[in-house]
Amino acid sequence: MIRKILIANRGEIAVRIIRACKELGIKSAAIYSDADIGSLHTILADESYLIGPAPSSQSYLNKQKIIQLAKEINAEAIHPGYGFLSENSEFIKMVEESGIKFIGPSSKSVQMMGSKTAARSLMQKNNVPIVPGTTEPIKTVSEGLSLANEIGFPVLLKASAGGGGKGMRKVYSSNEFESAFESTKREALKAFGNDDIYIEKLIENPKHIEVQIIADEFGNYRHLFERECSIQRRHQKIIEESPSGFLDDQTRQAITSAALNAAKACDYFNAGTIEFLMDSNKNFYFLEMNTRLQVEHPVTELVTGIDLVKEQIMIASGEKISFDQKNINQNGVAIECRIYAEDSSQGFLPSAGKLKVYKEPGGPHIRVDSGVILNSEISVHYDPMVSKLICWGSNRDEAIKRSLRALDEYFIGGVSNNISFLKFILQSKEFQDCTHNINSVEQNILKSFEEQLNLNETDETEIAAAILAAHLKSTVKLKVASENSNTNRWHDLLYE
Amino acid sequence: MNEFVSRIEERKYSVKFLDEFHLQLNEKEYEYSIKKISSDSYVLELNNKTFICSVIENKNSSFEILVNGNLKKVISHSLISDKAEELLKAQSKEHSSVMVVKAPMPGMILKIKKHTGENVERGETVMILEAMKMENEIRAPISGCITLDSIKEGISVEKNTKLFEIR
Repeated sequence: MIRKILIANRGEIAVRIIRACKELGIKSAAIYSDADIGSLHTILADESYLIGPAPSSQSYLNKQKIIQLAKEINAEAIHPGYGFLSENSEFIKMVEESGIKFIGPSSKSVQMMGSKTAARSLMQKNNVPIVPGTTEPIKTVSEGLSLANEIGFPVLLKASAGGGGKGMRKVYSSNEFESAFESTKREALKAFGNDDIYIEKLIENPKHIEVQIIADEFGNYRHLFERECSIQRRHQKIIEESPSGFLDDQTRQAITSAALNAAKACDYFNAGTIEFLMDSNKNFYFLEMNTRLQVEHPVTELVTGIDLVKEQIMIASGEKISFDQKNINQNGVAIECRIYAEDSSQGFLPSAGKLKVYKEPGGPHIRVDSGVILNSEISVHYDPMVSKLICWGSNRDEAIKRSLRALDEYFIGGVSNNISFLKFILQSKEFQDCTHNINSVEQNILKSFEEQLNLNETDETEIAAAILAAHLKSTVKLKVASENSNTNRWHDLLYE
Repeated sequence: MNEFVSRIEERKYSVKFLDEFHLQLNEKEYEYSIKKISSDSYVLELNNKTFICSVIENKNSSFEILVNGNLKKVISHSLISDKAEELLKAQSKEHSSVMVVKAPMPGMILKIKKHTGENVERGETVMILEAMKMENEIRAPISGCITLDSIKEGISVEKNTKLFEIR
């Protein structure tokens, strides 16, 4: 049994992991940078250690220092959370070699899934559908062009080492091909230090559907159904839900078994997610595997009742998965909204500063995962996510209405937030009909949102603000007036 | 004496306090009460609807007030000084009006989309600033002609560095 876990992360996910540790009776050790002194995860953890200066490269990404600290404080395991070092196979290898348990998959599995072309050919061999295209890097323009013609335009040029939407280019016809090929190669070299690129068929306006899987070190594999994360802006997910309102049982059966094949193909253990693109005919294609816990894991927890972080820790302790596949069902619908410190009325500019007012929503079937409290600092050094709101409903309509209700209950002051945009998306016809796809936000919803911003609508809170400001102005005047009269009075008294 | 003008974006609210419990807003009468509950928090009751307000900023005549979770930026003046302000504004408009846009956060200039001498519409993207791991569009707050001084693609800027001017 693991007795102490070092959490190599910050913010809400560090808090999430600390909570699981506490419920399991395991000691938690937090790390923090200079910018995170006094932040929530350091307060909740049993122990907390300053790891370095604010920039991530010198703190949360400092592999040697984190492993050395874990040894010094006798932590038997490291939980990486998401982001930072979670998918860094070199770090995982270092942890494995140090004798400390890594709470996640083996470095070998992570490495196998790290290269997009290698992962694609592995998937193809294991009956996981991939987007039609090449599995090997393309050498020359003419080779690429003939392949593109074979696949059929439009196609997508992608960097093998890419991710997060970088190093991708859409090509609609053969005469655009050469220049697109050269510039994608250049971009890939610049961004990833590797100019290998490959071609895929462009799936137009797909949905993003992903499957949560979990496996133990005894070869037991389970899936926890799907999540839909099609609401994205600049390849960043904003709203996620489980189940997807778009899937039927047959497709669900097919995509979850494909996901299990994908996990088995790389000898995977611990929690992982297989991401797919799905076209309007419900054909699905492997996109990539995320070899870690996801930001949006709570929606799965709310519909299945499984605590994924506890399960991760138990698996790392050498236990078997605690449940059978046949006992897992999708109960109701859960929706997650990501609250970012960004100004949706000013082109989504991130906003740094102190949370001078902060109140989270409450009530039935509401879960809030956040790493902040009143007076927390939203720093320029890290991701501007403030909080995650996860609402459960017995059906999708109830989950949407509950999310809208709960979003209204957030009071956030001191930094800007995207709550009005989240509400706008939840109320959009596309989202409500579940016809939305990964381009909906940027092609339609954003535009109507910005038009609505210019409508200059008055609401009752605005009237309240106008009145209070006038009141404050009037009391300032009174104060000045009374101070003056006091002085005069004192003056009078003196000469009495 | 007890008449004020609050402005939120382009909207104007004339507030007249009639007595301790009544006020007029844009000619419409309301019943109201204001109770101070901490150094910067107030409870406002308006026709039997309750609002909780936190004053986040209070500088001269400019206020940032969070009302039931909604942030409102208000400029409030007494009726007389509002009139004076309007007069001043009208006068300065006859001269050239220049808007200086500063970096809202430290970061790197990733791309410049509009160059010196170009005309921009309000809301158009002028440049992209990479900060907080994100690419951020810096947009034109007003329509006009752009002047970029020493800002070039690839340079790093501190918070409040002047990025460009629009006149």
